[in-house]
Amino acid sequence: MGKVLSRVKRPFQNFNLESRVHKIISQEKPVPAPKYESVQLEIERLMKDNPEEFQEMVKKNEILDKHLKNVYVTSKSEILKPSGSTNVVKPLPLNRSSYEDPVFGIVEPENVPKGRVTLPNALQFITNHHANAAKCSVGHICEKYVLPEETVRNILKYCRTFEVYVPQNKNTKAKYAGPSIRRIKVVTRKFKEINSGEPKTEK
Amino acid sequence: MYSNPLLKVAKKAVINPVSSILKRTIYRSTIRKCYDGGQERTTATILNKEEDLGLMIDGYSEVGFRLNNNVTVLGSMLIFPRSVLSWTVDDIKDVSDESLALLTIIEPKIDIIVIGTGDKMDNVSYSHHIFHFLRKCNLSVEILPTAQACPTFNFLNSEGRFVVGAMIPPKTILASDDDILRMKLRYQNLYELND
Repeated sequence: MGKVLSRVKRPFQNFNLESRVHKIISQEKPVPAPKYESVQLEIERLMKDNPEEFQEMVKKNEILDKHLKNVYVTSKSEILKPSGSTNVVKPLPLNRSSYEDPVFGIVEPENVPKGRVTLPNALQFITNHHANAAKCSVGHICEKYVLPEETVRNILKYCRTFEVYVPQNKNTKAKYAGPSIRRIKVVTRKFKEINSGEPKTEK
Repeated sequence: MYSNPLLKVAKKAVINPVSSILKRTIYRSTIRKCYDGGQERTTATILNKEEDLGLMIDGYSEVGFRLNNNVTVLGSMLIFPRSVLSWTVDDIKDVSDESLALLTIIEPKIDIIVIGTGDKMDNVSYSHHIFHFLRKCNLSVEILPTAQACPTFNFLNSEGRFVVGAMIPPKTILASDDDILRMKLRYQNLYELND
């Protein structure tokens, strides 16, 4: 029942609502809501009892206004420096170049213990010795790389660098470069074969 | 009995339910689940063709090896990640303390040595001495027939390990038809008559 009544009432309540609202909003200063009667009576009593103080309260205080104008809010913030850069003992890296693969595929050690040799150095002395044995003798190698003589002799006996042959005419297909008379022959496995047709008859 | 094809279909229609006849007459094709239009294709990379992975062995024969930088090496070799040395050893029985001397003094220490023995051998007594000697030098070693040693070396090298291959060419090769065809393709024109 209440629903029906409010349905009837609502159009009348909302009549001309928009223009009434605009009228109130467009006012310069809002009209204060009326006070309760008891409050209104009390205010009037105070005004009658001490009118001077009341007048002073309404007036604008120049001194206080001046003080207020001198108040400013400022902010100061320190810019923080990164702490790591000042560390002398452990400075940050400055080199930003990219990593390159070592030539021989392994990073070469800075310190080589006695009796050992790096791969590039080994290749170097093997090449030099076989190119010119008198100039790069076993004794010379032992002295230079601090190696035992027996080991150096064995290395030079068993390891050699390759001689490179490039075919003169590169347009032809690769030629077989092995020995002309093969010492070894390619062996092909013989597999059992399936007979085609009739099975063999035993004789 | 039913010589007319129409009669055959009519008979089927009577005997079989409708759905089975539809299945027979309508061509169905399903989208294969394993291939999703090229979004995620299965790819294969061949290690020997990757240039920055280092030196690898492409093939072996009874006289030597072919490397992936188009160099054919004759005889036994000591192959390092990016360099190769000739090794004057003809047979696995020649492999001794003396012929392995270079590997024991190289700094930094070699991660693994792969020895290719040539042919597969039933008598493995030769390996005891090699194992004993290299263990004394604190080196790890893998002794395999050359056929298996070559791919082992390639794989270890592609992983970036400091691997050294000591390879002796095998004396007998079991060649398949495919191997022979590939060899012919490399050395001669297939469609030309040989003199």
